[in-house]
Amino acid sequence: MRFLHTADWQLGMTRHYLSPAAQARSTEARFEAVRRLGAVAAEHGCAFVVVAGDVFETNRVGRDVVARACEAMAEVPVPVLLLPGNHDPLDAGSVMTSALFRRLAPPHVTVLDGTPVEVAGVQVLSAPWRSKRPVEDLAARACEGLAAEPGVRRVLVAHGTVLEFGSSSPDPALVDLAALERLLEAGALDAVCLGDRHSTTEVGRTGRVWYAGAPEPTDHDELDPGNVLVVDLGDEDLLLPGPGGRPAPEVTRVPVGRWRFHRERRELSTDEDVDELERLLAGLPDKSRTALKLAVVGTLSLAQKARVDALLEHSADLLGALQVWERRSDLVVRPDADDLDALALTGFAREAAEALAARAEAPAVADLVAGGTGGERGRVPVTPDAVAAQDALSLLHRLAAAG
Amino acid sequence: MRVLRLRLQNFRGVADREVTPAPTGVTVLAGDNEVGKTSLVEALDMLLDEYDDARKKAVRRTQPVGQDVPTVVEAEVQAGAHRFTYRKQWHRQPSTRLVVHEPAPEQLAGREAHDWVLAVLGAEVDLPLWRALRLQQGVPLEQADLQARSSLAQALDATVAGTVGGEREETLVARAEEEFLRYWTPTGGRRTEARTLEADVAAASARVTALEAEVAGVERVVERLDRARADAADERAAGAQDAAAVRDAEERVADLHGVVRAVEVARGALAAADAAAATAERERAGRRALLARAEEAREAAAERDVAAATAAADLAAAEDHLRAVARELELARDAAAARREEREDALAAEQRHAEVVEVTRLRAVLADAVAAQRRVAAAEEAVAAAPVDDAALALVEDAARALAVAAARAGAATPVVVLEGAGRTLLTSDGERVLDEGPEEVRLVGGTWFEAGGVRVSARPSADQERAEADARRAEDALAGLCARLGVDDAAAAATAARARREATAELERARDAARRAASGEDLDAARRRVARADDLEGSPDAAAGADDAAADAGAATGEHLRRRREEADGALGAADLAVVRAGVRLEAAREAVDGAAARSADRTAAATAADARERVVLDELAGARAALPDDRAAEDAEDALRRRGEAAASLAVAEAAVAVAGVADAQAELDLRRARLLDGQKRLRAHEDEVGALTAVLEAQGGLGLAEQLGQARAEEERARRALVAWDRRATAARTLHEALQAARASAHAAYVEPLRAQLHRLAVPVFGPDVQVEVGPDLRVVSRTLGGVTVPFEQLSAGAREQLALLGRLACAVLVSGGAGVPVVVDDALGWSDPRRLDGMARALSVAGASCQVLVLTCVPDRYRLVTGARTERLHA
Repeated sequence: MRFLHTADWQLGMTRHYLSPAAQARSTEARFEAVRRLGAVAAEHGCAFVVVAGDVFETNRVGRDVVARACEAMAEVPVPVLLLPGNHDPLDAGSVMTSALFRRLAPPHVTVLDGTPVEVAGVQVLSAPWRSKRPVEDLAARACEGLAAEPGVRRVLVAHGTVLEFGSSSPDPALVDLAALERLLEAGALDAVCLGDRHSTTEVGRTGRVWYAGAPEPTDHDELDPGNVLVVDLGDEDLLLPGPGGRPAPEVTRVPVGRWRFHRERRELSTDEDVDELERLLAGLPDKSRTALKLAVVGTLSLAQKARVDALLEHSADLLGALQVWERRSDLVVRPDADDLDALALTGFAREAAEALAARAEAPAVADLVAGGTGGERGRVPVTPDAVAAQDALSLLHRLAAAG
Repeated sequence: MRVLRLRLQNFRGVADREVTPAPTGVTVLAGDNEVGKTSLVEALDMLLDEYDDARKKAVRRTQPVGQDVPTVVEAEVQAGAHRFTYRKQWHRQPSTRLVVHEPAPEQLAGREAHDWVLAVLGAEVDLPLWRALRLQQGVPLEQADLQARSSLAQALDATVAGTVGGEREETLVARAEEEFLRYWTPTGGRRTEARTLEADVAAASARVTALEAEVAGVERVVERLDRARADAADERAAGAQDAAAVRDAEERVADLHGVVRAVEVARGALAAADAAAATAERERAGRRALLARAEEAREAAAERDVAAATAAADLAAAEDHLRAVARELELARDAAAARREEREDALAAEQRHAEVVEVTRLRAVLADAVAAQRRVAAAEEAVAAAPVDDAALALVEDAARALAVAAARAGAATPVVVLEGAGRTLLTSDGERVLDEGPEEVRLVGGTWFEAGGVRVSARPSADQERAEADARRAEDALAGLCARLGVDDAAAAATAARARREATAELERARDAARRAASGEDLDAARRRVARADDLEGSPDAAAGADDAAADAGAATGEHLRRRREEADGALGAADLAVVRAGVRLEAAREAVDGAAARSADRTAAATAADARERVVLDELAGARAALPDDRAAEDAEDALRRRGEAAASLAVAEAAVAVAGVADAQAELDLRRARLLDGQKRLRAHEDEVGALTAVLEAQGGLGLAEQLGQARAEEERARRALVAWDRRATAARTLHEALQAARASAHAAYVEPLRAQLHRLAVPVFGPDVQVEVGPDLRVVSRTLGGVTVPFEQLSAGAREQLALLGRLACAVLVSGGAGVPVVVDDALGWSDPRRLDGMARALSVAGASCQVLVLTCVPDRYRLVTGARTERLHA
């Protein structure tokens, strides 16, 4: 008996660093992911799909998002069970209880409101979020008084951070993993499908508790997003009564995400470094669905900086998103003698260029004087005047290069 | 660059000329006007700048007029380490040839040679400076524009530590300024674009804030809705508990049913007793009322009978009265008829009397009229009897006057003789005559004669006398004839007759007047007819006349009497008519009175009948009631019922006291309380449900708006706007930083390199202006002012001579400064025309000083000006 475990679709999600066009592509990609996981479910013979929370980015999504979500779910060929999560809690404003959703949702879509649901011979328990600030362990509440029953297979669908074994937290809403594992070991539960963490993750030691991760990545800090899980509970006939007598389910991760979120940190100090950066940027596949967060440090000459600027400008045109991580980008422009010679300036113009170069380097020099490294490792204190001087030099470089 | 040799062939007016300037020092090329001095400079320019096949007008014009010959320019030039001979031929068989002598011999031709020369000169020579350092004819007072000369900059740079840029640097400054002005106004203000970007950021932020508020609002609604739902759920649970409590209380109340039942029974008995007592009392009261009604009916019937009798009597009286009034009316009508007859008689008498009076008057009138007619006829006869009217009298009087005149004339014409002879007799034609004592005059009319003493004296009239006498006779005849015709004797008789006629005529007038008066205002024919009618009526006219007379006698008295009699009859008739009307009115009233009385009588009779009927009915009813229940039994029944009711009330009080003892009231109160609480709870539940409904509607309305996405997009928009602004600021700051840095460096460089030029200029100026001269040079390397003898004069206000001198000195100073590898010759073309001899000497010394380090070519037609130049080479140019 197989089913498909997914979570954190976050339909209707926006990202401030995406251009309107990239945002549109990103939004579309989330609906496409739903269609693809439907295809995966069919391909793997899954009996149903559980979505462990955060189906929608918020309860405040537009009509179009609801409509397109329902349209995409209609293409999933098996029952779809939706759990309200912290993004879309089952509160009074829940999108999943709205008139629009009720009207548009295909008949094989069920919203898990805590009532056990029987599907394909499996009892699905659910721990929906009913507000954004639950005051108890919803999973524990869903399993209250649960005991093993012969011939009954149960799957719990829950959402949130787990309180790992042996740790403690003042947050009463954390999912108590230990308690769940006791139930799993007692045979009262067969699997726990979690949502909230966007990276596909197995937790605990039973092999039965998983975070499916987001089917489309949402941010740069996700380790292994873009997957869905095909969970095989095994053949019903082979079920052996008693604790420990059952084999752990077979869990297969299937990638469905198309977007990639990369984070890169580059030291740029030599022409070779710039070459390397160029290769990196050129080598990114599927650029229009790639969001790159780039931190660059180092010391560049005017010419190198001009090259880097041109490279980044070009990449920004191609990529889904390019964020230059400014807070950690201590990229110092330090015009060298070659730079100044290359400008082929004489007289006062050369003097002006040298004066600007001195201003650009002033923080680095001060850092050296104060016993620092002079910013060679990209940690130069930057002053507005130094930045202005660097920019002025870049501009001078551009103007001079114009002939 | 040094020009070592220059040769022109067929260049404008110059057929063939070669000059060899001194490599260093002053070369004076002297020649008369139009000998072609300026052509030397132009030829050198053309050699360097123009291709041999150039078709420009300036090039074509160098060919001598009317000669199909090639123009050739050839120069030997030293430029840095290079020395070469460069030759170009134009117009015919164009060619370019270059022979390089140093550093390595080489030969080139055509474009290759041209390019080679340009490359070498470009590298070694500051060509713009070469042009700037010329002091040309026609523009002698200009100072050289030295600012953008890189060789000068380098020279100055070599002299001082300052730096000056060249054209490239100036271009960069211009571009930096252009870039600066993209972001900043010339006065340093930020361009509108910045404000637009800021406005974009502000607008985006405002949208984010607004959307955040909206989202927060929705979140609040969600929270309220959740709360309301929870409250409703709580209320439902409480309601269920309340309902259970109500059921409990109801059960308790049911347990106390027996006690309560006794009360119910007692209550029922009391109610039944109440009803029975009420019935009996009703019966008794009904009997009393029936008796009263029977009495009442009897009285009413009697009363109605009396009233009917009275009404019948009233009717009879009214009918009597009606008859009496009718009789009165008849009498009044008869009296009125009698009065009317009397009045008719009186009126007829009055009218007859008036007729008689009138006829009498008419008879008098008619008599007067007849008398007047008669008088008129008499007067007419009298008039007819007196034929001499005034006109005829006038004729007679005229004739008498004519006769008198004629007689007088005849008398005058007759001679007069005087007869004297007292007492003597004389015979005369008239008989004898005795003379009187005195003279006597006698007229001698024709035929007259005297005789005395036998002498007869006869008078024979003269012609005049005869004529006059004839006239007199005719006049006498005329008068006589007239009188005869009128039937009078003479004029006097005529006058008397005329007077009689006048009197008769007057009488006629008066008679006619009388006749007219008699007929005045009367129709005499009508009067006659009326009189005739009266006569017919009255019988004979005489009788009538008699009656008339009698009537006339009775006169006015009778008329008055008859009028009064008639008026009295009028009055009597009016009174009689009035009496009739009044009697009629009374009759009408009497009739109405009879009608009214008759109606009343009928009413009363009917009422009396009805009252009798009612009395019979009531009496029947009473009889029936008494048959069913005698009067005394009804009273007894009522008393019994009242007693039984009192007994039932006492039983109820006993039963209720028993209920109070059993605590039934508390149980009931508890039940009521529970029920009230349940109702309150249901009300609260409805309120919560209403709120849930309202908030749900709000949420549904907000739900599809996609506020969260809008907020996300707004944040993205804000981020973009902020980045755009930051980027703009950064670019603007960079542009300003660069612009300011370049400007500052340029200003300070200019300030630094002014000094060596000023020092060099001062060195050259001393020979010209004297040792105490001071020259100020501006940042643009132009002379700002000259100070001499403590007096500072701005360059523009100096004399033409001084300006010319300083312009040349400036070029020489520059040339000296750059006389190294990149140096160029200074060319002075016929300058110093404004300089006086003393200054010319000074300029010559300055040229000598400059010539020590650079090549100076002086073209002049006045070589004397430069005679004091030390070591100058002079070449004379001939046509």
